[in-house]
Amino acid sequence: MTLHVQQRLGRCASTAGAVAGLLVTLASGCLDTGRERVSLPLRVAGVTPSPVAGAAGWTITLDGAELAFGPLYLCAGEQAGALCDTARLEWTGSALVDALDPEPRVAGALEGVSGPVRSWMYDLGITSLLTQQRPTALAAAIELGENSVRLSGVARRDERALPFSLVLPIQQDEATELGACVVRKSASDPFEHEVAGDDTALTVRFDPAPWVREIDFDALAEDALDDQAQRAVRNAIVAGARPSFEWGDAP
Amino acid sequence: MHSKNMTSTVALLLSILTACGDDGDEQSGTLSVLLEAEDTITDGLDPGEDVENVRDGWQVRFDRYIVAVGDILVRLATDSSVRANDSDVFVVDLSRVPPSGLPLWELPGLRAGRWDFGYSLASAAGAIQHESVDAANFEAMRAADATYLVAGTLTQSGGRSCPPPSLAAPGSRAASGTNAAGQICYENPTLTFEWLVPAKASFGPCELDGVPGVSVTEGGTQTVAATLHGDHLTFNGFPEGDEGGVLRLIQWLADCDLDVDGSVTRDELEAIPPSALAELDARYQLGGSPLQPLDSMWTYVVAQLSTQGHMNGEGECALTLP
Repeated sequence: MTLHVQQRLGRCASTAGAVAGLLVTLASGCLDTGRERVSLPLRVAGVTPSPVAGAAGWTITLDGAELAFGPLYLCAGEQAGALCDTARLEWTGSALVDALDPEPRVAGALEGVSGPVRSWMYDLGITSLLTQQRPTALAAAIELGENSVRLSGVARRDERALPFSLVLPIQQDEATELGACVVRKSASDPFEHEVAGDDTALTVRFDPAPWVREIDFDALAEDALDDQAQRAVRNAIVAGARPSFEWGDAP
Repeated sequence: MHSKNMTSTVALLLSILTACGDDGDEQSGTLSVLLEAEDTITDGLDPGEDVENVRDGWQVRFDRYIVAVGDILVRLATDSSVRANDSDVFVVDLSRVPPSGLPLWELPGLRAGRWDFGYSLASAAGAIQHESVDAANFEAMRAADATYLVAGTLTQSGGRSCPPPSLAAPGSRAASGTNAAGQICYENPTLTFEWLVPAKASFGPCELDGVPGVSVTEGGTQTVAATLHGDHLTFNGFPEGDEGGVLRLIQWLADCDLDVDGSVTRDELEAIPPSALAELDARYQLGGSPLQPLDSMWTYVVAQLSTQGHMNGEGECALTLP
């Protein structure tokens, strides 16, 4: 058995120092928690559109890619979800993201306190709460007909051109995990930031190209059911490439 | 300064100085760490309609459920710079762990108090072979730098495989109807699998019912269990927290038998993107996956096996991947 025990040295000396500091603090009449209230603009953006290399040789040109985004929570711990009871920063609204427009647009304000954030979680316009029996569509999803995403475009291969459109709700329900956000930072996602009072903004940027790469356009070309397309888009949005989180740059 | 503040401050100073003087006389305790296997590993999973059952009719049994686990790390809850570690990693067959668990690690000399608890799933390379694991399996895991060796069987009277049409290679097998998505199915009532899986992960800090870690008492021995679950491959997502709400389904695995030979291999899993499986429909919510992107069903298997570390049964642990 290999055993290593480490004990902090000089406990008494450092404790006496802490007491001295406490005396000074009490003399000043207040205690400093080290945290300050923070409110910073939350912006959403897409990317400049370009043709997407899809599966089986199809090339996809998107002419519409809208995503209902929100709410968003930023957490102090490494893992969001059930282990994030209280978010350090939160935005409880929703916004419609034009994923084909790279220009940031203000969606609302992130409210909270300063300190480190190491994880995030968000819904896609349809949020579920433990106090409600059914998920609730927020304003952005309502704009999409109570859906989370609306895509349209043309897939081309050789001489064939296949127009397509798709709408899809992405939400928790009784069979999944009511009360939890549908997208949470993975353990493999790098994310860390020290939120400070002088932070100017956070921009969340979505790239729709991965959303359509796995669509089986051969099946759609044969008038097959579009279930595969919906699975492909849903999986790509919740378990595929993450949006980028860009700190700074006031609008 | 208020006189009340001065009085309480002096009292605080006196109590702290008194405690400092007791450094050399402080009592300590011992932490014994057990390895536990959830009964889904030792007993398997049965079909049925209850929450604990597999809802799509399959019975699951594990022949071997071998894991490389250890590297226990505890931190004093009130001062994380105070820590203790037992770095031993054992390769253990969880299917042969007794219900009372295996006492594999011990941490003596711990200050009385609450300690945050954590441990890791590691590589079999450099690990200690437990008596529950034979030499052949141990060497196979070491050679593959594997964390898990999972081998088992799915059975269902009337069970079928419905592989994605674009990837299926059933040869001369006769079709047996279609699934709800209109994909051709084939009779396949018994399927086997045997995988060497790299799934290193660290769990901790852990909590049970909102109470973090474990409390060590003066002069006593406290026991804590590293509990590994075995049913996450049947989950319809990656729940963080109470697993009571998950739906247990495994038809997706049967559909991964692309050549319908009764065996699901790593090669087959690697060839299948999740979007190709009709079974992974709206009943699944994959947004909490610890690995992204989920680009194949092999990645899905690795992701689920990476989440199975718990404490004292159902206690939840924060997950960190290397």
